[in-house]
Amino acid sequence: MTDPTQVARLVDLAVATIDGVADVYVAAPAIAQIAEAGRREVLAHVTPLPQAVRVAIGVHESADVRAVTRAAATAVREALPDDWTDARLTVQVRRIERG
Amino acid sequence: MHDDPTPRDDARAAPDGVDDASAAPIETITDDVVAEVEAEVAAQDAVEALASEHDELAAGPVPPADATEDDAATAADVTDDEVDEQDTDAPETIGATGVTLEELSAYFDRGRTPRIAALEHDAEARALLDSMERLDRLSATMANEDAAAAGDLDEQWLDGLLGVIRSEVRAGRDLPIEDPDERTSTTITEGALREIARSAGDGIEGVLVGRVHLREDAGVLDVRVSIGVRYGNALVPTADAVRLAVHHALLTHAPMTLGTIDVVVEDVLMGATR
Repeated sequence: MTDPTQVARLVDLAVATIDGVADVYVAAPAIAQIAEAGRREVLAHVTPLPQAVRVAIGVHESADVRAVTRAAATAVREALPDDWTDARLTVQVRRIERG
Repeated sequence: MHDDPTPRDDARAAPDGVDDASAAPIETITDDVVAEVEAEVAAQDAVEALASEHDELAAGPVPPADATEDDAATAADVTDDEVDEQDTDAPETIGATGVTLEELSAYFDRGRTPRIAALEHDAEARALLDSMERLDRLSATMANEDAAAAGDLDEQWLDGLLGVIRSEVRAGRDLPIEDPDERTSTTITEGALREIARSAGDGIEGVLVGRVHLREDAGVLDVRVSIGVRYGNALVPTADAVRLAVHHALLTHAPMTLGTIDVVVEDVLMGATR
């Protein structure tokens, strides 16, 4: 199975290029954030058992949230390695960004 | 967006074997690395002794002003480990940054330079930084227009407001947008909705938003916004303008029906706020 860290890197790169995505943020359940404070090197949260991918994005204020999240989900799916195609995916809009 | 991975990243990511790619490793730092970091810290201590009164970062996990982003990551790791060992009653930190509100405020006061990736890629930290910027802007405007107000700083009020904002920028619940397929969900956080309501309200001249309260029930979102209005502004038109701005912002981005939007004027801003 592809290393989760490598999966997270692929996901980070895929999301960052989507039109309407203003920024990509650290994605994690709250407890994980506390445990990982200041140490994260990847932004997506990837767990292998069960396979799950979570990304947190900021969406431009002028963009359509539904369209952007849908595009982000598609891009992440396409970026996942073959052995991660069944992963559960959550695209979370964490901020709406101005400017 | 975020920095390209380095060989060092490879050694640090996937801390718990295959369990979790995004948590950091609990790695053993070699004596050489410790000595190197200690030497850097000692040198920085000497420099920062001369720094401004806001240079509280020297004692925390955020690195000194002249550190690079890579330096920042190293310093944060080491300091966090030390904090874990030494202090279980550490002050509450922001998101996944490992820094406190005071440390983030000091980073803001430095002009957010040098850029620290751990702060700029954290949604809570970014939301707080944006709020600080809006506070700063209003304060500067008030001070420019009324020189006397510049000396009337209400630091206690400001601290209280930042505490409120700090609590509201947390993600909170995930509210569903849609499920494109059975394995995929898209969501928006309560924190994101609170922030756009706050940002819209702050965008009205002479207004600072205090609290944003959201209540979602059966697909309908009710909002209550408390505001401070600058002395001299007409209250009713100002409150109406806030209500319209919040309505427009949420109408565009909230994935549910908007219900009532209540605006409560809780403060009259008499002097500069920052």
